[in-house]
Amino acid sequence: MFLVSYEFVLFFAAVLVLYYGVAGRFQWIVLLLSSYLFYAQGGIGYLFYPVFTTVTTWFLAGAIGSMSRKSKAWIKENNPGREEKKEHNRLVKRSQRRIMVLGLVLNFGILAVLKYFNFLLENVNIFLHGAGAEGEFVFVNWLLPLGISYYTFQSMGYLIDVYYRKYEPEKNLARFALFVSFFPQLVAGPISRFEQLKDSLYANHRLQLRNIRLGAERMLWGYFKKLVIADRLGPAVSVIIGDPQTYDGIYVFLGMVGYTLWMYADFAGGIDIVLGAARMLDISLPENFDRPFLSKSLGEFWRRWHMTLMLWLREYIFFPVSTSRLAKSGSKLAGIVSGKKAAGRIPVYMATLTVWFVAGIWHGASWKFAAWGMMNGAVLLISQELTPWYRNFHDAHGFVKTRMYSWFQIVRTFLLFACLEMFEYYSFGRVFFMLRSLVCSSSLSQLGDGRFEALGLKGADLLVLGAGIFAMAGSGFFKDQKSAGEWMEKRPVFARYGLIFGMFLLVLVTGVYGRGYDASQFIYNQF
Amino acid sequence: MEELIEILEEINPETDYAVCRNLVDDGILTSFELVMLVTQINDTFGVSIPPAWIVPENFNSAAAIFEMIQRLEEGE
Repeated sequence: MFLVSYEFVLFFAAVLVLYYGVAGRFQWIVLLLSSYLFYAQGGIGYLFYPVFTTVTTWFLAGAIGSMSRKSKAWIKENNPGREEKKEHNRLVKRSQRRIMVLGLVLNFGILAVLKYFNFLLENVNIFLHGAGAEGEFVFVNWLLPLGISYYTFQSMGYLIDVYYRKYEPEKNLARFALFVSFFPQLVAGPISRFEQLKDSLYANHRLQLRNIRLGAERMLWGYFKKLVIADRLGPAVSVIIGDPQTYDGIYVFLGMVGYTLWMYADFAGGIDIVLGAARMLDISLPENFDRPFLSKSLGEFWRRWHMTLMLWLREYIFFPVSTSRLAKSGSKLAGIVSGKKAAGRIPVYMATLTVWFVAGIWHGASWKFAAWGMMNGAVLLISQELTPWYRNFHDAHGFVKTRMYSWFQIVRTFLLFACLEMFEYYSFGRVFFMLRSLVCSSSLSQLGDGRFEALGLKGADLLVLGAGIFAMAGSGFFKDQKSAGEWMEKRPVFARYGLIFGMFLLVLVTGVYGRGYDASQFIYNQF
Repeated sequence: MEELIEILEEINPETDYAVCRNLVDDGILTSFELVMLVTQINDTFGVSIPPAWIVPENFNSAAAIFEMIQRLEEGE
């Protein structure tokens, strides 16, 4: 069952009725059963994966928590000296680390096998062919469970947090199962943290019309982005990026910009649907986007795009890698060889490249995605190296404080991101070839040479797309969803409900349904 | 404290560390700069900052960073 389907709308309506119909203390049970029902729609066997992750994570986190409690009690009872306490803590931490590593290996192991095993075989086959071997390994046709990357990352974040003693582990297995499988966010995130979600997930909720209205508005806004913009733009962009021999010159630019807007409308639209549905249930999930296209640098962009994944990577990979023994040894060595500045760089370089390699292969099991990740990491490191130069430049030139310069930075960042996205859909070498074509052989007249008509976008489509993208850009004037909601609250009642009805009609009339494009799928579902 | 201010000024010279209380929350110290800071604290003060301690509360001001270093020195 996908978020963009009549089945989901009916399913969600039934869940809402049941959820607000039962006593508050049973509401989380309704959500858990609904979540498993939602997941089992794809086949009952799929339930094995989230259940396995739930049980192993809950059990191991419980064991870590129990060791922490026993350790505290022992210290209280025996009042050891400083050295003895230190040694005791070290031994406890070592045992806890082993348990945590077991949980990480089990769960990331499943993800690795299901998602990356064929990628590994593909590379082994290439190697064997290169070595002159005739046979090759046959790919295994795994069925990738829906949202496995999202719930695995979320659960492993919980396990690591318990290891770091950020909070006590959840005692009730069924309640923890809901945290892992909460159905609106199961498919495409956001990746929540237990301490953020637990209060609203398990609380008693009263039916409030305001939540229903704000949730419905947000869901409709999501359906608008998905069905009106993304699903209209997607097929045309696919034609451009799928045939680089034909679509060169100015079309490289159209592909770049189109792909970026398509990705945003698709992913942010999905998140709007998820957050709107959660709002209707009176459950608050973290935001995943903060107007990323208003960023003035790539670093800022990645703090505002897919925020929950970036935060996860920062906390659970970037900081641990940068403070690891290996990074410290590398730093020491660099300090001896090249001085203090080089010593400071080693942990940053190691952590950045690790994070972006993981971010790359998280998006897809191919070298293209790995290259995309590494290119992002490289650009971020280069801009970090250029920071002193930027500072001097900004100090020396007054115009950098003008609004015009700010807009220049915003457009530059958008184009840089769009350019880096090319590594996702072209091979590494092809990107440079296409960029050369864009720079050297672009002309506006290419738009009238028949290739544009083949994209399948009619005049009405262009009009709807233009208006849709304009509306999406216009929504950026609101600081966040809360201020958009507050603005709506101040409108008269008929305007508020009129807008909901209008948006519903708009999605119904201008949405793209069944034009040879699978509207029910989101790009980010595949991760 | 002077040593710490020196390190901070070397990493990001544009901030007045005596008054700034939102170094991380306001994005004045980026993740890169935080890691550089952690490495230099490690070398200068001989303490090892665990990843779980790299949170805004411990890095939002020079005073908070200094307090964290003292807690680590005490072996907490």
